[in-house]
Amino acid sequence: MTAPPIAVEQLTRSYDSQRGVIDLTFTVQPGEIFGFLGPNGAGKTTTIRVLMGFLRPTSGRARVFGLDCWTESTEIKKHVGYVPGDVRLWENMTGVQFLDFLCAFRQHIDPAWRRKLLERFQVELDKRIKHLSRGNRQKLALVQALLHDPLLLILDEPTSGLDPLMQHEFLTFLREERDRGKTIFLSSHQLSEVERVADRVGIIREGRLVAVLTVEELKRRRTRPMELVFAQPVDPQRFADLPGVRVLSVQDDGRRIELGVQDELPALLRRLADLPVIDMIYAPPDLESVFLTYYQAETIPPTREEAAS
Amino acid sequence: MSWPMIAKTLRDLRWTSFWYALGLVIYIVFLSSFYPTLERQREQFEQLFRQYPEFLFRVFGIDPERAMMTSFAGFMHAETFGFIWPATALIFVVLSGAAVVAQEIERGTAEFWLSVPVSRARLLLSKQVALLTSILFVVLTSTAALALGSQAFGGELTARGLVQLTIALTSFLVSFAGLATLASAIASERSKAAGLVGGVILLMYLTWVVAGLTEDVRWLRYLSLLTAYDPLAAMLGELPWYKPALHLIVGLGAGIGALVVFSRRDIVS
Repeated sequence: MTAPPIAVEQLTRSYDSQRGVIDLTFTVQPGEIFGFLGPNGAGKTTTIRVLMGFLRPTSGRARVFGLDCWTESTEIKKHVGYVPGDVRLWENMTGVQFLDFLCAFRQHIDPAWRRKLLERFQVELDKRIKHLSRGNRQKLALVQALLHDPLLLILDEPTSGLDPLMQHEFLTFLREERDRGKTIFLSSHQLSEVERVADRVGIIREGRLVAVLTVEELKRRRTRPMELVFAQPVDPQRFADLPGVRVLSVQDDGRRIELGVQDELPALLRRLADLPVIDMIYAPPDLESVFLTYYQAETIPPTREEAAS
Repeated sequence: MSWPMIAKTLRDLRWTSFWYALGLVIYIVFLSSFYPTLERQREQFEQLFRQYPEFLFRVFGIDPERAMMTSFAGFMHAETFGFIWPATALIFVVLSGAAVVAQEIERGTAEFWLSVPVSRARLLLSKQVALLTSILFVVLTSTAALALGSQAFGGELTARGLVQLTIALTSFLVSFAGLATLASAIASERSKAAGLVGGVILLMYLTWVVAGLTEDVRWLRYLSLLTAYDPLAAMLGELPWYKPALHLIVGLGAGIGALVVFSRRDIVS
């Protein structure tokens, strides 16, 4: 297949009175993991539903392997594995009945591949789905998407409900699949997850695509919050000259300072070594910090006491 | 046609079909057992029933102008196939039909079967075929029970009457199954789809009852599918062909409408 796995051009999908997605344009290249990043309600699921042929675009076009997502969705689905964002299964089926049912629509399911997936994700097959935990239901949904070894995976928040170990295992598996030449379109609202696995990232906010960039570019642009607690008050101006460091808030007369750090850690650590630090929390990067880059004026969180200039 | 979807839908419907069919079978056999008593005291019963107001008969689907209790067919029509059987079977058909799409969208399971490489129309058609199979099961068990009751308790039913009854009952249920799947293809909640068809049935029923009460509004009967439901004529082997044909046309038309609507609608749970 020579056409790109996903090509979206000026796609708009609106609901009666609500915003859906507006004027999206992006392309996903063969053999890449494309992270589709945005907060809840940003339009990720709407975009995915258009790609899967569940929703008709209001305007613009969405194509998968060169085929129109609305008029040719049956053909598209031969090559796509899909996991919905809100996994709800048939409660009275067992795991094996669920997988057998969905396998019956596909041709050429390799039994060895099926066995490998079931072993790797430790799927519970014999219990009725209504007796399975959320994580085990999610694993069933993941395995059904992978069973026919599709060229393209469209995954809507696929790790939700999985325990951290299984999340790690699944993200490792996605990288292996990418190395086998598969293309993966992965939506998430967790920046750290997308950073771990994606090659490129599309950022969506309030229905609009804010940016498409590589993970390296993303890491350069986002900030990580660092909360510092000092034994004595510290003047926030001590951080003013450090590159890539911003003071977000100051509390307790300078005993507690929150910084935004943009991957410029060495200079900051050297400075902290001279200060009476008694505690430090260096949180993982969050999505809001990325939006700060693009919408700084709108989205700076209100400071709890007073913001340093 | 998609065999996996037919098999799954049949599996989903199997216990519902079984319990409705069993309930109707027990009711039919039980009612049939009263027929010998009625036959012995036919004249007294006739006289007694003639004293009831016509409205009461119309409400329960009995046309007092036609044979009422003078035969096994008339007795079973008055006691079972005029009201109780269609009311019970319609509940089964409307709830099952309303579930085919709307319930799956409501529960979020539709996204799985809509992600397989089979067109929406074929998937829904497969569900409709499974529903039709369940309808046939319910109808055939009922007519078999009627044949058994007739044999056991001295009723006089012909094979022609039983075949025509099977056709009348099946076509009647097919018409409302078609409407139920159409409502289900439009709605995103089972209760809304079932409520819509239930409302239509209630309107048709009231129209049919009122049309039977006075000549002035006799024309109203053409607005109700119940007018073409004639199990008494069927049991007597005198079913006009156009009555089941009308039901089948409505059912098939609505079923095709459901396929078209479902193929074009958005799936939003």
